[in-house]
Amino acid sequence: MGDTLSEFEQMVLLALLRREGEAYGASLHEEIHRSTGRDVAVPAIYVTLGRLREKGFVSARQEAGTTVRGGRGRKLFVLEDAGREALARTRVFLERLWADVDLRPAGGGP
Amino acid sequence: MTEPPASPPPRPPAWSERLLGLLVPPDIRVSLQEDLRERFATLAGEEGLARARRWYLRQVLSAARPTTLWTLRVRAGGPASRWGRARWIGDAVQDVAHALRRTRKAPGAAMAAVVMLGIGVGGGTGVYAIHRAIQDLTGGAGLPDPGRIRVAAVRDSMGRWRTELPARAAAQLLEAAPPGRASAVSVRPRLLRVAGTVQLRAVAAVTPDHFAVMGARVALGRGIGAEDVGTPVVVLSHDVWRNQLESDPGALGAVVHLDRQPYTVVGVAAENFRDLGFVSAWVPLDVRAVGGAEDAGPPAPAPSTPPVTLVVGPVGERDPVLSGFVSRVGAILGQDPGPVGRAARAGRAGLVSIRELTSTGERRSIQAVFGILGALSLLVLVAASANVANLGTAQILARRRELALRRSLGASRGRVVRLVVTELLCLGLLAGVGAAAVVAGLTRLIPLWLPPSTANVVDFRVEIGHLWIAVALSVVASLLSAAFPALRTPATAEVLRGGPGSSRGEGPGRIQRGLVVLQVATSVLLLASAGLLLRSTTFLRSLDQGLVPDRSSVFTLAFPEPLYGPDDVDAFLRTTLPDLGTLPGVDAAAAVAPTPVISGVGTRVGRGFDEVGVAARRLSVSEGYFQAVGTELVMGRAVRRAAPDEAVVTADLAERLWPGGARLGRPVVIDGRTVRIVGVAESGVYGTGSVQPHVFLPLDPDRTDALAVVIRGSAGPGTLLAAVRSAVRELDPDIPVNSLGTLDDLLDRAQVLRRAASGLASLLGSLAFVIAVVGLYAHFSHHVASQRRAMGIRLALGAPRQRVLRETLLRGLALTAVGIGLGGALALAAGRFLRSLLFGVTPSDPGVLGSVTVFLLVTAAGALLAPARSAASVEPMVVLRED
Repeated sequence: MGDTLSEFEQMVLLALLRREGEAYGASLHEEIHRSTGRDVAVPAIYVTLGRLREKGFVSARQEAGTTVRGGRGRKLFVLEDAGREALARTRVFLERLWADVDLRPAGGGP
Repeated sequence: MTEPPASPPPRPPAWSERLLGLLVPPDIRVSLQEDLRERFATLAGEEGLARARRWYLRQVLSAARPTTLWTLRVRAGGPASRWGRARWIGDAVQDVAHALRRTRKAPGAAMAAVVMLGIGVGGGTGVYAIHRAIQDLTGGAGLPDPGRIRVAAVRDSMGRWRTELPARAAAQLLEAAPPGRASAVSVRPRLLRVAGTVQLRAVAAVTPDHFAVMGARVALGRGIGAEDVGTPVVVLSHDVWRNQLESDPGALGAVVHLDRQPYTVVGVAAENFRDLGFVSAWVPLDVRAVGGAEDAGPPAPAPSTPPVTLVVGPVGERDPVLSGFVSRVGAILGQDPGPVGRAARAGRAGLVSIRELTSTGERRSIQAVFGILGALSLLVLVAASANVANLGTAQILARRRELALRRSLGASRGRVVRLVVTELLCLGLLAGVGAAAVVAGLTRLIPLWLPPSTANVVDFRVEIGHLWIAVALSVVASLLSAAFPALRTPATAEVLRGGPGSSRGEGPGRIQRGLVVLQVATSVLLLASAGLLLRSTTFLRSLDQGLVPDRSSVFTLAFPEPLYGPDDVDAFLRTTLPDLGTLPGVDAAAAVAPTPVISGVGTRVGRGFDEVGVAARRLSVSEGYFQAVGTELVMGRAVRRAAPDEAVVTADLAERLWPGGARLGRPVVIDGRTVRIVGVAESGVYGTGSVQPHVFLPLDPDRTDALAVVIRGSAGPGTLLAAVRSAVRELDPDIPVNSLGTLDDLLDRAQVLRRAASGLASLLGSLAFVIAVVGLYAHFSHHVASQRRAMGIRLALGAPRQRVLRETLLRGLALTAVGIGLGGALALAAGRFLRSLLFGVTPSDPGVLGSVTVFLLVTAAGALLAPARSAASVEPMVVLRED
């Protein structure tokens, strides 16, 4: 699969990696907020996770109910191998693009 | 083991959770909701509940974004069966997005449709709003259900209902009525001082159940209750509260003055509640005390017992509790020794609906006129819808290739129909906004046509309900008018069947031509009605009014009891009035009661006590009255102040009493007493359509508590008002003086209904006219566009361009002529209903109908010129190459 990931997809997948085993809507939102300072929309995370599931990058399983969430279980997401590959591929692409790039203005400067 | 929760975590607002539930599909709803709740609880703990709520709302709104919605519902949602019952949302979002794209692509057609519908619906809703305001004014008393309020009344010898009963009779009725179902009201003018301003206002003294009986609500505080009897408390009208207390929410407990006595405000009545006659304040009344009606406020000398009105309500269709009482009203009133008892014993007593009490003739003509205008505005709406239908059809015909492509790519018939309908719905909503603007504009414009005195009284504000009606009507109208005709055209039908969507030229069909005819007919009908009403108004003002109105100004003065008495009136007549006559620029000053032209006491003038007599209006006048209003004395002289047995009659009245005979010195019987004719004044119509018999008697200070002062001279009402006020102030600073404008203004006021009707008809007529002209233009532009190929062939075969131009023009004028014929016939038929308002002109007036016809034909020719020229300028080679 030659798909690269959009910025938001990367954010969601990386948050998922960082919270491996504990990745569900609320924790992903919290992780993104904590790491990037961006208050993203939870429905948008769901939209993205739905798309990533379609591509086979993530899978989901329903956790058994606990007392914490009114007896309802969380929907936990797990990164699949294809997702890992896609993340790695995107990173390589980006690193290649970044190599030898100089952001300083053309006329020199500090 | 379960831990007992210390305290439940904060939850997002229930409504926003429900909204979220509606937006997202069921398969992710629970997880998403729980995740959001968890984050909400964390955020509420860290940053406070208010911030958390705002954050939650943003989250919900993000789910409502079309792209998110689309992905959640359509892509991520999987197969259709999993979308659940809310699947239509995704489709609808897509349809709306498509409709908006289409509207952006063809903004001209969309704008035209919006303007058309906006005018049509807005005009109709505006007329409805104004009708309601006027109907309310003439018999609603600002009540939610005036039809269910009854008033005890007796019919006088002139056949009019009298509701003012002697206090003792009212007290007896109240005693006999079922508890809590009847109340007594005594309305009289009193000096009301609020926030430093003194005004003469109608103040009602009411028994405790009055607000409940009338079904009236309060905006602030409470109504008059049982505990208030005997205490100086007052409930103010909404108007007084708004205008004089600037809607101060802390008005309760404030002190206002009634006839110089302090009263504490305990409530503010609901907006528009005017009770029986524009009441500004309510105070407690103890009708049972001292056998009569007396304001239970602080001790105030009451020289005479004011009459009381008994109100019963709310009355249902079958009301066993009240029916027993109703049958006893006549018997109870029959015990009264006075005229009320006489009328009751003669079987002329009963409970009358509050609507019945307003002068029925006036109410009927108002209802008839606004009924007609309502029907006409509906016609304007139909005409506007017809235009939208034509536009819609043209749009769909232009898109048949696109629609056919959609069908062939697998879109279902329903999907294509839904696309078209959504587009029209969007147009309808936009048109609703236009309509709301028209309603708002109309309600501001109408008061400009009415005399200032009426405009102040009628509440023309736009109600939010009317705007909703406007929006809803335009949505319905756009759907009905455009969707169905558009979907019924043969080309569309073919597309919907899955056919190729023929690209052959197809002109507007019979339905579209019919719609254009209807538009022209509507505008003829409206313009003709407006013309007839306008001619009537001009005719009426050209009649001999019986007075010379241009240089006389009219002011009103009041001497309300118990603060003032006959001595004050007498002092005014003897000292202040002569002083006013000597002011610079003043030729004559006189007093009269009641105000001439707009009011007058109905009476009968007979040659003896045994005669029924001739109906006439009675005016009590001071010396110099005829000079002040410009009425000529045909013979004899004016009445003198110290001679109560003198009278002047108008020439028409004298002629009816003694045809051809001598009049001066003859005795006549008026209101049960004999007076002598000392003069005969010229006859006049006094702002109406027929001669009004008048009898003039000397002004009697004992029987007068309100006066009109007429001043003739070169100074205008504004300058004179200050002079009159300062002269009256010397007598007493609290006597309220108001200006009614000139006699001319009063004559105009007599025409208010006709003017309002002709103004509205002109307005609707102009709107219908614009719609018809645009309709003609659009119809023939479409016709020419669809016939380009045929015209190209004709031109290629040698037809002269002039003939093509002439034919197109004639075709359009023929259609216009059919519309004019139909509209003329409708105008003749509608004239029957307008007849009561028409004077000096018949519904078939050739001048009015002729000028409307010429006007429409000329403008139609102008509107048709552009399409006709474009038909004649078709380039055959270009057109033939197009296919």
